[in-house]
Amino acid sequence: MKTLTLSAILGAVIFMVLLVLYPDIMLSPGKLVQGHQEVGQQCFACHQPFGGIENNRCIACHELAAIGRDTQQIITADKKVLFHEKLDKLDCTTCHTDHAGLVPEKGTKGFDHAMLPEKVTNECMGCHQKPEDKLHRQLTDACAKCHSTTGWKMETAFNHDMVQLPARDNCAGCHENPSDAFHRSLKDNCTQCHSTTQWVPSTFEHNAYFVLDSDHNAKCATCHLNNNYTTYTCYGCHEHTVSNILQEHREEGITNLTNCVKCHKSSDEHEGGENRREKGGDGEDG
Amino acid sequence: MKNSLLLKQVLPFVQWYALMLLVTIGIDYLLHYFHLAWVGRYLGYVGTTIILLSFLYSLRKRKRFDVGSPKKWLMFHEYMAWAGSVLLLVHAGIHFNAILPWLAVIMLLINVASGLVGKFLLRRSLNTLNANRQALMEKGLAKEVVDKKLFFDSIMVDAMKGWRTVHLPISFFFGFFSFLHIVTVFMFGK
Repeated sequence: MKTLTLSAILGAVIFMVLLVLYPDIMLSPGKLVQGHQEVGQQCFACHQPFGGIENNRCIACHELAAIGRDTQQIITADKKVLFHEKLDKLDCTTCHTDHAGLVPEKGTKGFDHAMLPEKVTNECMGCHQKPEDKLHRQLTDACAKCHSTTGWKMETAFNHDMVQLPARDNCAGCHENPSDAFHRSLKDNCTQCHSTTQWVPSTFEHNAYFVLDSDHNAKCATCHLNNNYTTYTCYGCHEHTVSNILQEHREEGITNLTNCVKCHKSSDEHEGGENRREKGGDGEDG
Repeated sequence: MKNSLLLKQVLPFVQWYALMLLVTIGIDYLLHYFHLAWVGRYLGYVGTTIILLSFLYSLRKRKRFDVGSPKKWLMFHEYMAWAGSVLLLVHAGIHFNAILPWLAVIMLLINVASGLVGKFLLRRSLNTLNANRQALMEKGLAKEVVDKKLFFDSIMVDAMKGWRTVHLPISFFFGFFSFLHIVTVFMFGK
């Protein structure tokens, strides 16, 4: 038993010696990042015994106001501004780790806005640059009305009331006119069909022009050829041919058969002009 | 016969070991699934405390206090050490970083295995003891005489003595590595 105890003590002592001689292998949670590798085994160059890593040890080399200044990627590509200066109350280790073993893929543990003081969090422009697109140029700095600290993508519908007048009435200031022939032919009176609460569905009422009942449940292109919604034809299906329509209307004395909806706003064949016998029913505006 | 021995005596202990690993994987999975992996750090404190509490059995065995039967305290030691080991394994996770904490984990795994071997030996010795007692009683010996004869049953005493010679150093090094790990974490962390 005595031999066993002595062996255990000897083993423990040998291990302690190894611990002191090779702390990087025995204790370090991973290799240091490239810029700090010259520190090597001098753990206490950064670590305060039983006190963690004090900010002043980092700041001694990394001036807060200068962090990111020379990093082209941060300034130009992501359009971010320098922000470390405002984070002087936080521990550097809150976000950063130098030991690659802890977070192998990168040197930061992951940023969370919750770590910031409320004042810094609420001042978005302190860290972020306002997007320079035409929409954001017209808006105030109340970013939180659309964006949250958990995601840039909007979680709620955009409130058009945030846009100042008269820009609010100028839809084309932010929205591009749809490129189809129908919308190309229209002027800027978008509100006639669309509202600021939703784009689809619009309030365009096809029934006001022609009722799309079960007999006319067809694709748009059947009547509106070449994506052109300013014109239509009733001869795009097999039901209506010029010859049979002409035959039906001949006895009415109607010969212009291009503007059908002038008389027929639905598939009800009796709704047409056959009983009206108007001269104008000849489709003079056809 | 061999199969019977394997099923009745060895398998239960292997099951306890396998269950420990499965429960560890289950807890680890759930913590990651619910984005609660940070909890693992604190399970180190809980697991250590539970294992330290399990050593109340050692104090009871050495009569430092006199509450409860040693048998119940042994069961307490077994279950608490098993539960604490699960929590420490979850705490360790699968992070291949420094050697020291890994040595502590390896010693923990060996220690649990050793503990289960001890449990196995103890049960086997008790079975042998009961069989011997039965045989002596059948020979017509008085209960007091039988108890006296079996008091120093060589098989049981030798087996447990031999096991203890192995289990104690393993426990010592598990404790030693764990202690160093805790000290260094506080020394370099915050």
